[in-house]
Amino acid sequence: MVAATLAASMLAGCGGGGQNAAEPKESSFEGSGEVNRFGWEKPKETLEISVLDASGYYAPLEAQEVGEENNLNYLLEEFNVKMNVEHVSGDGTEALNLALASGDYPDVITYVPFSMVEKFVRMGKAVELTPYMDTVGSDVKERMGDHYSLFLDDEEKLYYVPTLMGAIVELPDRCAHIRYDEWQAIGSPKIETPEDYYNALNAILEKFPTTPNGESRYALSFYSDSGHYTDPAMLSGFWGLKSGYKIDDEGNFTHWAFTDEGKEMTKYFNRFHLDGTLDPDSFANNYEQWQTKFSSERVVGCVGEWWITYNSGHEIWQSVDPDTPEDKRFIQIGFKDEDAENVYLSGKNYLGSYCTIITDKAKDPEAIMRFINFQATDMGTALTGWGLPNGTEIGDTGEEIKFWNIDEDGNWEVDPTAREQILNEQWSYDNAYYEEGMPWLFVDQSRWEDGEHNFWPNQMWYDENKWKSIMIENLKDTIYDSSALTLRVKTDEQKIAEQAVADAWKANWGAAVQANSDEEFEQAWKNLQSALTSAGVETLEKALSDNYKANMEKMEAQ
Amino acid sequence: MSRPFYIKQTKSGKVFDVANVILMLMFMVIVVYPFINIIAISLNEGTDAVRGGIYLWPRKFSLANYKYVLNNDDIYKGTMVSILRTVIGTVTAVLGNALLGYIVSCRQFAGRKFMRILFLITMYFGGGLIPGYLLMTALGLVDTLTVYWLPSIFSAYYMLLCASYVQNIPEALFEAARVDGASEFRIFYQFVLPLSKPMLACIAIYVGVGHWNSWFDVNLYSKSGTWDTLQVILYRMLNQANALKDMTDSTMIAEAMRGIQPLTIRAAITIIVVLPIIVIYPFFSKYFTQGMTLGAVKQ
Amino acid sequence: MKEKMKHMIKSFNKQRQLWLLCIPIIIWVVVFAYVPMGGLIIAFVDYIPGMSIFDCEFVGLKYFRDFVMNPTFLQLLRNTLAMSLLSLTVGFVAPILFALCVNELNNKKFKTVVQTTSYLPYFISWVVAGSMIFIMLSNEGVVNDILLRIGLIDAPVPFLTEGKYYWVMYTLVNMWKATGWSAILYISAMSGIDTQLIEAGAVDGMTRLGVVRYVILPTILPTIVVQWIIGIGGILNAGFDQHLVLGNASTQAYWDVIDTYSYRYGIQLGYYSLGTAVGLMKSVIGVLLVWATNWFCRKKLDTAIF
Repeated sequence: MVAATLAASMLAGCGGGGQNAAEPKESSFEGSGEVNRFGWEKPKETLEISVLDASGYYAPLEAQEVGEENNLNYLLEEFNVKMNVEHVSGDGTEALNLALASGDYPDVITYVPFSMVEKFVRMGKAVELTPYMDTVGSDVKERMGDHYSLFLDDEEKLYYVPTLMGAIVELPDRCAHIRYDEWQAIGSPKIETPEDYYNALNAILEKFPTTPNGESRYALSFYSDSGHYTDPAMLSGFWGLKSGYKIDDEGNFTHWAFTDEGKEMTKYFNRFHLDGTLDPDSFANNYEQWQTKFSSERVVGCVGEWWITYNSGHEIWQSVDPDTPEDKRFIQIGFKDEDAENVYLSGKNYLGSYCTIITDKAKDPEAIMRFINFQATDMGTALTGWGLPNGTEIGDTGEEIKFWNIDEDGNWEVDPTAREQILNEQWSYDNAYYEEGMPWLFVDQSRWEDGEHNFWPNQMWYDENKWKSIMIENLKDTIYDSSALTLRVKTDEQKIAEQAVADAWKANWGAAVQANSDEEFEQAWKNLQSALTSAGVETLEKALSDNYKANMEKMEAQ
Repeated sequence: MSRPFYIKQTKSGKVFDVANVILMLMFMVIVVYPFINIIAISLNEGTDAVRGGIYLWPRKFSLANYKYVLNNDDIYKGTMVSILRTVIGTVTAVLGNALLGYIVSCRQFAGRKFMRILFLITMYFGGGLIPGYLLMTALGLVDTLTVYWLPSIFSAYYMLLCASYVQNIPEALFEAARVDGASEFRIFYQFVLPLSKPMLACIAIYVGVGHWNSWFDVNLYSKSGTWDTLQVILYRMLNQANALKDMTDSTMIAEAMRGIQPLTIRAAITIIVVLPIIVIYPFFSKYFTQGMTLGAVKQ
Repeated sequence: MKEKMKHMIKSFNKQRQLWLLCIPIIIWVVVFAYVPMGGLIIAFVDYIPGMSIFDCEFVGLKYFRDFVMNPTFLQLLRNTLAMSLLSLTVGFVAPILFALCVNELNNKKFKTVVQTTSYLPYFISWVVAGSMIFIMLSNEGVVNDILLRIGLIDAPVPFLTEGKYYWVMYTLVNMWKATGWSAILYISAMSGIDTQLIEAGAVDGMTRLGVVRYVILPTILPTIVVQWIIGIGGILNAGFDQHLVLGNASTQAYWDVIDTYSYRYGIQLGYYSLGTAVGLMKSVIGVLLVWATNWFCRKKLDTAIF
């Protein structure tokens, strides 16, 4: 009997809790009239917000834990907002599915993948935010700007705000890298084409064939982690493809494996393999193993995110040996195949990769939207990204870290010492954890209207940083807006095709790069194409094309 | 149970003994080396270890990793929860499975086959993640210690192992007790339990280590973090990089990468998690090496 | 008839105590194992978390068809069977042989040391083990380095990136990790041997091999049979974590097994119905195999699990 009841309640999915999100709830928010120095009107009664951070695999450093506590205390004192934050410790998506099934989740969930937002919306458990966008959420709408229409669903309704949106327009995400001192030693040859890069890497290899420890070196090495991958879609950008697709004037997509450019690109890397200068473990390295190889100077060049040569290169060398010469480091460069019209390395997706939703559990969604809106303001962004102002204790060392100052009247400045340290690359990120840790509900990383500041402490004043300005200069023509290319709403068939296509190229591209002869290469290329075809690459191409065309229309209509 | 003196040593026997010792030594190298390697990494300075090349000995000796780990309150709390879980989980599971094993090996018990099949089915059919989670929620077991041990008291596998061992105990022993009017439960704890010590010790190790090592249910059911175990703290550190898989924004990935626990810290925690098991194991394994002499009881 | 009833009631009375002991156990198994089994319905409906299963659209065998019709199905099946057959043969015998060898060691101290170290790899999580295996077996790894130095090979063997090595590597790595651990079971079973039996055998002039053949093996046979039948039932389980750390893109055609597939599509993409359908399929096949093996073992070896 008991068992039967249990079984029934379980199968019914007990959904439970909360009222129907479709019905708007009255806001009981009452301001106290007191506006604090950040421009936030303190509520009369403490505003309580419970938040679930669904990014997953939460394993904080001790400093990060202290930092979060500091920030939550600060919110309570200065804002009269009491925030409770829970972190998912396993897989985020899995936790969200379980939360949805059991009805056990808090007012706000951040870092929600878009596919999960769809599920919450479909079950009526996400609050519609459209009504707030012209009232308490106007700053959010303003931040979304031209892209606002892309966040709406078919019925022009908004159910989420991006957890992190926007882009730093001039920062190249991805690029090629070359060792600066070694490049100078071979006479700083100009690198404008893939051929030039090939020649330069080989010249360096010839001049410095071994590491200081006498180990052999490679021209290039790749890495592949779950999700963190030396991705041919990105590499094909040097040959003029966008996000791995050739897009014709009508907006039709062709996957890189079915284009001449993609084949040429693969041949280019195959050449390194034939020369024996491509790390033979390129398709077995995960990022950490690659990093080990890289930091012991086994690799001369690489292609990937701009920062990988920072945290695997000079940052390690300087920390192990403080006397490391300043020039012993990598610089970021770009080049372009002769036949390509343009290089597309860094697709700037303004839509962001995660979403924040207010759930049906929230008693007062409007009040929560007020706070989200505060994070959208410049001061909200500063507080969230830069950490607590006016100095925070570094653990129990008695010392302080501070990035910025603000006085009672709201006059603020970036601390001159901190600015100096950032520019000289001496800023301690480990200590900064003590002042950071504000939960992200809505963060826009685009540069502010003042043209100077932005969300990340280390992404400002590029022109005063020698190395960053070299990077910006070298890669200024490689960045493009990829928001309209991003496919968000997918049918089941498209989702499965997307996964199968990723499986297919991962399993087959390496064989082409590592082919030992022309015949082998042609065979591997054919295998790649047929694997992609049976995985449903056409379904995906069509979905991307339709989505792109629709998005272009939406944006033009606005 | 080494070769008894009364069996004649032959020439080929001697050759085998030598070869056996050499084989075992080689095997030991393969199984012990990884541990030495992890210890060496855990005793190395953090940034330096990224460059690799540490095999048997740390390159830049440092105790900072252990200091960092041992200064962390979560580690102590996690250790307490792990111990509690392992002790309760092991005791209940060993007693439960021994009882079940005895029941299904009683030859004259008509429900024997029914019980066996009832449990065997559970070995192959389960509802999966979501129904299991909903059940625990419905029973109010989320965020309790009970959720760790109650659902795993009985298991078809250990039931079979116990039964296969109990079968070897002469039935006459139980019959005699029954004639004396002993209840079945008394037979169980007075004869079956003491006579099955080696098998129980073996199951205790399997179940105990299973409890000590498990992280999956902790991730699901320890929502508030109150019942986080030591192993789950290690698990999260080791798998932290998985969180990057959904990130597409390059600056965000860069920041997340910075927050990843250093290799050396992960090595130190690995050692701290394994150490208790290595220390405790010999106390159980002595039940295997002693050997049981059934003959003594028979008389 | 009446006679039979009488007998049954009598035997039931006799067994009353055992049945009484069974009651709490049966309640437990119903609550914790049979109630969640209701969730298997998920395999037949288009399930969305949060929706009552009864409200979900019934799709019949759609997800079973989807799985069987997917373009990599045959590859999945081949990999799964190949690796689990290797585990069931080589991987199954290894711990038994190891336990026998440990049992034959004469020096008691050495024996204890071997025993207590043999299971150490079991405690290294797959993530950590994976990075060690990389250091050992990559093209520049320690193993290739040694082989090159002693001149056994001219060029590094791509253990990790060439698919054809994968199955063997998987088996060896699993053996490294689990042999000592699984042997604990056999070692404990052997310790139940009555020394009087061996003494009696010695008097009859039994050799060491004879002791193994006629005394030790029969004692551990029930344990071996239990392990074997259960192992056969798990023939469609061919590892999971191992592949995520040992496998990489270039070897995917050799490591992608049913479980990794069902994880990628069932869990990661959130198609719980697909995942459940695949699991259910595996269960049915597993149970059929167990039933057949059990029947065979009872006929031929006179031991069975039910």
